[in-house]
This record gives sequence, C-alpha cells and structure tokens, in this order.
Amino acid sequence: MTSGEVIKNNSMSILEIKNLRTSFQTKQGKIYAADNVSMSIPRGKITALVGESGCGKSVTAMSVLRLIQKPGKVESGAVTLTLDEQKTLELMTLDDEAMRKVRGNKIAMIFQEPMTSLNPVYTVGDQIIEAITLHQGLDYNAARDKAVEMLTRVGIPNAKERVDNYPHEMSGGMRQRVMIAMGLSCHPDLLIADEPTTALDVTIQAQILELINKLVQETGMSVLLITHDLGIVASYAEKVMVMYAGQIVEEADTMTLYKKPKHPYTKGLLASIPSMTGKKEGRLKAIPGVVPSLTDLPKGCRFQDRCERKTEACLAPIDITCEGDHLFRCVNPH
Amino acid sequence: MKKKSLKKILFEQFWESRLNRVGFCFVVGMLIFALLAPFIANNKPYYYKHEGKTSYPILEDVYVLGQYFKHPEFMNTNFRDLKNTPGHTVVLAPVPYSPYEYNLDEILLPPSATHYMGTDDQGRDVAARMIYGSQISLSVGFVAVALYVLIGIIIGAIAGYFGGWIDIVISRLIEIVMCFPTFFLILAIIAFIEPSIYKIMIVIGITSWTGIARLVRGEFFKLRDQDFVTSARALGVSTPGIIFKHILPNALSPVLVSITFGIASSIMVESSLSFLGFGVQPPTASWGQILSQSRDYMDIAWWLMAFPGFAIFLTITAFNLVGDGMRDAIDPRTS
Repeated sequence: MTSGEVIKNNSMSILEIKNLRTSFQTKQGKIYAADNVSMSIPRGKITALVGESGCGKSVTAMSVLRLIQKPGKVESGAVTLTLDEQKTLELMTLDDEAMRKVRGNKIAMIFQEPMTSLNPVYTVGDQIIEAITLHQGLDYNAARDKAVEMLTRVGIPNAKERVDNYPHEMSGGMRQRVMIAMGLSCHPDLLIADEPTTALDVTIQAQILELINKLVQETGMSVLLITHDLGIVASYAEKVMVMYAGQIVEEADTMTLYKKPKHPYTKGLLASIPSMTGKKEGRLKAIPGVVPSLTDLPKGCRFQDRCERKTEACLAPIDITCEGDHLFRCVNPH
Repeated sequence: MKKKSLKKILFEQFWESRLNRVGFCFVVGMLIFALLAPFIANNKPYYYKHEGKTSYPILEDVYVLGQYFKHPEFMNTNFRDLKNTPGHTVVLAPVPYSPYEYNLDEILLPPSATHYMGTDDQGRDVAARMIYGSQISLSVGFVAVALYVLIGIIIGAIAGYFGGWIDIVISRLIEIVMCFPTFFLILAIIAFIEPSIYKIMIVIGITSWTGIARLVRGEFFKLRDQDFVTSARALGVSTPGIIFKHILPNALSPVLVSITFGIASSIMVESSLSFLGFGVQPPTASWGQILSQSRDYMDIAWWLMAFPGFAIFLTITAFNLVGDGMRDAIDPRTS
C-alpha cells in the first residue's frame, strides 16, 4: 500500500487494524483466536462485526484495547486510531500509561453482561464519576452533575435519585444503560459494544440499540457493534464484517451484504434467519456441521467442511478478493 | 423504590440473632469501657470544692488534654479521706482507686464495698487494674490484628492478582511462615528482646498474617476475571486502582470475619504471654498479668484469679460470637 492510500484511508476511518494476530497458549498447542484480522472502522457510523460464539469477535475487540490477558497474547499487527487530521495513535506501540489514557477516554467499551459488569459495592453514580474524574480531571461535584446528565441522556428516569442506586437495585436494561452512560461519559471517539443486547430481552434490546443509534447521530461518535444477531445489524449498521474461525470472511456495506452475499457462510447465516414477511418456505435452513476447533483447522478455507460449494481450490490458503468495497475470502463465491 | 445497600441487608441479618446482638453489644461496651478507663477508675475526683475554690482534678488524666489541667497542689491529697470531711465537696469516680496506687496496709483483701474486686499482694485495687487492663488487652487485639491484616491483604492481593510465578513464590512463603508454631515463635523472639506491649503487638502482627493472605489471595483469584474488573480495565483504571478500589472491597467480607476471630486470639496470646511473664511487665496492668500474680496466692485469694479469667473468657466469647454471626450473615448458603 502506498502512503497516499494510507492518508486517504485515515481521513475516512477512525480505526485501522492491520494483520492482527492474537494467540492463546492452550494444552493442545497454540491457537490463533484472531488470525490476520484487518479492518477499518468508518467514522461517525455503526459498523457491525458478526459471527458466532468463539469466532474471535471479542478477542479482536480486546486486542484493540490491549486487554488480552494471559495466556493470550497479541503476536503481531498494527492498530491505528485516527483522532483527527493531525493526530493518530499507534495503539500497539504505545506505552502502558498512554494506553490507559486511551481506554475509556478515546475508545470505550461496553460488555455483554450488564448484570456483572458493574462493581456491586459502589453506586452506579460513583462508577460513572470514577470514569469522568479519571480522564477529565473534573472535581467530584462537577463529575456528579455530569453523571446525572449522562444518566438522563441514556434514558434513565429520575436520574437524580438513580445515581445513588447500587447495581443490584436496577434491572438488566437499566444497568446496560448505565454501562453506556459510563462508556460515553468521556466522549470517546469510538465505542466498542461487545454484544450489548445479548443478555437482554427483545423489547429492551430494541431500546438499547435505538439509544446507541441516537447517540451516534447526536455526537458523531463511531461504533463497532459486535453481535451474532444479523437481524439487529440490518437496521442499524452501515457496514458489516463477518467473522468465521478467527478470520474475516466477508466485508461489505449492509445493503450489499444482505442483497448479494458472496461467501457461502454469510449466505448460510442469512438463510437461517426466520422470515416474518415471506411466504412459507418450509424448514429453516441451518448450516450443516459445526465450527472447526481452532486447534485443528483445515488447511485452506476454514469453512470447507460445511460448504456446499467446495472445490479443489478450497484446499489451498485463500486470500481476500476485492470487488470495489465488497471484500470476501472465497474462491467460489455466490 | 426501597433503598437498601448490601451492608444494610447484611447487618439486619446479623442483628436478627440474639446471640449476635449480645456479642456485639458486649464488644461495643468493652470498647467504651476501655476508652473511658481513666474516668471509671481514678483516685482523683470528678469535682472538688474547698473554701470556694472549684476544680476538676480528674481531667489531669484525660489522654492528651491532661497537660492543660495540671494540679501539682493535689500531689499528695487523698480525696477518699476528704469525702466525709466537712468543708470539702468531693465527687469521686465509681472506682476511686488508681491502678498503680499501692497500700501495704491493705494487701490481699477480699472483695468488699470499698474494693469491689479485692486487692492484690501490694494492696492495689484489682477493680482499677482490671479496668485499665482492658485497655491493654483490647489495644493489643486491635493493633496486632490491624497490622497483620494490612500485611496479609497486601501480600494476598499481589499473589492473587498477578498469579504466575509471583503467586508461587508468595504461596510457598506463606506455607513456610505457617509451619512455625506461632506461639512458640513469639516466646522465642520475646526471649531475646525486652518485652513491651508494642513489641508484642508487632510480633503477633508479623507472625499471624498468613491466614488473611491466603483468604485474600483466594478471593482475588475468583474476582480478577469478573466482568466488572475487565470493565474497569477497559475504562482505563490503573492496576493499583483495580486491585485496591475495585477488587479489594469485594474481597473484604471473609476478611472481616477473620478479623473478629483474630482479635479474640490476639487477646488470648497477650494474656498467655503475660501469664507466663513474657508479656506486659509490672506495674502495668493487664488481665494476663493479674492472673500471673494470682498463681502465688491461689489458695488464699480466689478473686485475683476469678475476675481476670472471667473477663478474658467473656471478651473472647463475645468477639467469637460477633465473628460467627458475621460469617453466617455473609455466607449466602445460610440465608
């Protein structure tokens, strides 16, 4: 890639991941939970990262924030955070102190389990206040006012009183709102939402996603939405990346991906969503087989054992094919 | 929406049992008693009026403030005799004797209306010495435990949070220290240094931290991968912040239980040491030390043995009751 292209890319995307490899040392040997993952996350939009459990979505997100714990390790790769025209940060080479200032401040993350992601011994207010004082140097009273403001903003009624609630006094949806308030309290440039609605029931799911969407419109922040639910992706994300067994297998804008999926895996995922409007199509189509174990991956395409369109060429390693903005890792696409 | 913090719920559960209430009240009562010792047992009166001059001689013995209320003119005054003398108005303390005030005319007197718990072999009032002795016993208990809880928490937190080889080294160290029979180790150390109350606190402190360290280590192992810890890390909280602000408060409840039992056992160790003559040195009064005196007069002065023995028994029982109650309240399986 020439330098000209880099600049062009940077001006458009907030986060650029290049060839990220994160390994875990297990008893069966070393596995790569994220294997040569590259992606760019556009500014001011919701980007979705889709895949089933264990495909490396969360590992990729945690690697970006350098929160991978032993026995995991980021082996190689570059992550570039572009704050504005002048300022970019290379996250993999930052020292620990500078990285700490990125977390929560520039890139915030909210997690899947709102029930356990809040510290049970502090009030929700104190936890938001901590985030604010940590990065913005406000004094306690100012931070408290800000916390109330953030809680109001994420739609918590009676925020003035709720700020003194302990997490166990709140419902799951409320807690996820608190998590979002905490994540947003320092006005991060990028919010990584790791399955923010998985643990919530459907009506609350919609509210939370609606809220994130509204905040994107209002503040212009960028969101990386990690999910396994293609249904929610369709309504909110503008760009989708599909991950399978540690690799990105397809990337496109949402409309293209839904209308013309290239990779058989994406096609299979879309076919397995029950349709509300369509005529009776008989049984739901499931993808046959199971996800291969990361310790025992087939050579070549990782989806080959479950693929109907498998050919000889699938046995050799497969590179990404580009068709404009549509990227896919398949030699025999739809 | 009812507002009920976890602490409040736990406390209510604790308060339900009558035994817990008794233990708790006894402990609190003991603390107040020990703190007010100079006002309960003192040969100086609260209030003294003579020839129009009013004074409050007891204030001389108030911890730090005492220096502002010196009354050198009362050096050799015996206020107990003045009480019934016309022209003097005296309001005495409930136990109108000082713990160090000896009177060789009144040795080994049995309990009576003047000496509530009798006198010892030098004619000192046992009740006064018991009251002052509670200060020694409780302060040894609290200071020694505070010291080893601090050591134990820091060492246990480091081992549990970082794991790996740091944990291996610390765990082996804990096992080594645990292998020493603590009481004899303390005896051996005291044999080389001159015993004093502060040294006893320090020696108990540096030999007893292992239990706490193991508890805290276990809790940290359990908590360090919890979602809220990851979430704090993702917010950019520093490592010390994670350890002490986010994990430690969640790891403290079992430590709290251990603290109450620890105070009881430290009081016991101090009493045992003093009984053997290695602890608090005369003339300072401590329960163990009064017991130690009683050995020589076992057949003629039962009061020297009964009162301190009973006080030690009651105090340790009370602390253990509180500890038991706290453990039951915290343990989710019992509620």
